[in-house]
Amino acid sequence: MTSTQRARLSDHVATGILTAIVAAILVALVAIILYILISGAGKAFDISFLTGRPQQFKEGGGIGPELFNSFYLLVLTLLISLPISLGGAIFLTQYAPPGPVTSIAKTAIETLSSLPSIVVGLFGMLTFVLSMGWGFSIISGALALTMFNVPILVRVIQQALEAVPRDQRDAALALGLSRWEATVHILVPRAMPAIITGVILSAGRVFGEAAALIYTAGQSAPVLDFTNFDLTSASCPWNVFRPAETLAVHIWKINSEGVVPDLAAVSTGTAAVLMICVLAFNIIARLLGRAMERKVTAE
Amino acid sequence: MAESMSVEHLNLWYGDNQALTDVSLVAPANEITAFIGPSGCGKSTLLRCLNRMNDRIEGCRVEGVVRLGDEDVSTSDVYALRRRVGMVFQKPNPFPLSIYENVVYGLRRQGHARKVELDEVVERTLQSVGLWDEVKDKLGKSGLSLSGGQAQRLCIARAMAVNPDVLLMDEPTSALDPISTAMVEELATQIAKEHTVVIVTHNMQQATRISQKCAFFYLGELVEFAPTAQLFSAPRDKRTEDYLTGRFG
Repeated sequence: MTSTQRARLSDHVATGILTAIVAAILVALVAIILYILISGAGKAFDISFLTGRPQQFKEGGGIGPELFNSFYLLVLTLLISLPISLGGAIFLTQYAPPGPVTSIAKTAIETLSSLPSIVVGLFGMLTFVLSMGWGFSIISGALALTMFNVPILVRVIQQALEAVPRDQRDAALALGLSRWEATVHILVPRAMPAIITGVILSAGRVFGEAAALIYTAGQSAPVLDFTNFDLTSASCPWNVFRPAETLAVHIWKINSEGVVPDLAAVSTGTAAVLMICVLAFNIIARLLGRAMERKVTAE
Repeated sequence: MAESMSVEHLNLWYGDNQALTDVSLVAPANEITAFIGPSGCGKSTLLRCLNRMNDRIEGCRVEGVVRLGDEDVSTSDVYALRRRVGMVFQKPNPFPLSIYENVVYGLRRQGHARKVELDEVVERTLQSVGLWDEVKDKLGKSGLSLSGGQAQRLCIARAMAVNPDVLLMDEPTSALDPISTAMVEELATQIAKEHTVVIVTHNMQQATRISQKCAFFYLGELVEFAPTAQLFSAPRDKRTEDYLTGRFG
């Protein structure tokens, strides 16, 4: 065999192996998604399941409060974590002088982003639930999720800012802008499509998080009354000091201690709803990111 | 009003590495001064000293004086300095904003907000860079949608809209096609009628076409600084002659 034949053969072999690996991953993913969607489809598209209240002992319970709680927690978490992350990422990319302190900060963020979520949950319980005395509540859950989300967001935003061509910042500085003006007016808008995409993708992770919430936002879902605006009442949806079970926690709970007769159906239905929401986040992230990129670059 | 820009006994180090050695020259008002020399000779570094763009570079140390007119730039406010000394870069770098906002950006930051005034500046500036007819119907479109040559002229318009004393151009045509290059050169000549222009170029023909004064740099040293015609026809230094005749670089 000549050397060119050998080169060609090794290329063919490598292509074959890599294709097989990708195909195996795809098949497994599609199988899981289809399995969850098909087994939960009956419930997931049933409006009384989506809006109804959960049952303790009878069949026919819904996930209305859980669905609302999941979105409410997500929005609160993003409201808290986004400004912090944006500030942190801007500081790290634009201001932090290279040195030991900065590299320690970067390492700390990377470590935090791989922290097991159960550890975040237990830390949240000690800090927010017990020390601060907020009990199992939305605010405790949102703060725990913030701890979980900030490192991910900082990295995403940092990468987005670093991807902006350096000469665009130089152009702003050369016009006599301060670093802050250049960052706010030029860098952040330029990086915005990538930032939005990253934020929505991180939202998918936050939305599906269970372990960090079990010990912070709690495992009970008080019945919500949307006409109640008394922020101290447990049935007021907007009260941040009420316990709030989310979809992911609900799945965990009914499977570990549920006694309802239609347990399997409720569980697969909830899983399908969760899955559809996360899929929707991912698709929206792509479409929105692409649309914004087009708007920023040409139009 | 145009002001001359001068450099006196300038030394610059990146860490332990000396990038410029005892450079002195004057870029006169209403003329184009060209910096030429092989890559890494320090010509862009010197250009970036003129508007203090090296300030923020890690380990960069400067000794000597840079003057705008009679004023020592190291003591003036850096933001004010950069409003008087505009810059155009090697790669066209419009902001991710509309064409209109790109032009008026500097003015807005200086607090000019009257629409009539801004409209007038946009039209006049884009006319002067020869872009008005091409973009007047799409001023709301992103500056990033323009072709390379158009984008570079937009960047020149952006720099000129604040009416600086000096315009620094760092190899402004190296990413452009020949026709766009000719337009930018013509533009530089126009601008030099009322301003001071300093241009870094790799292209020796460009230096002969548009500059009145020419500085040849080699290994961080200003080898020769003379009227362009004289430098090219009768270089006094052997190294200048070798470079101009293509023996190195």
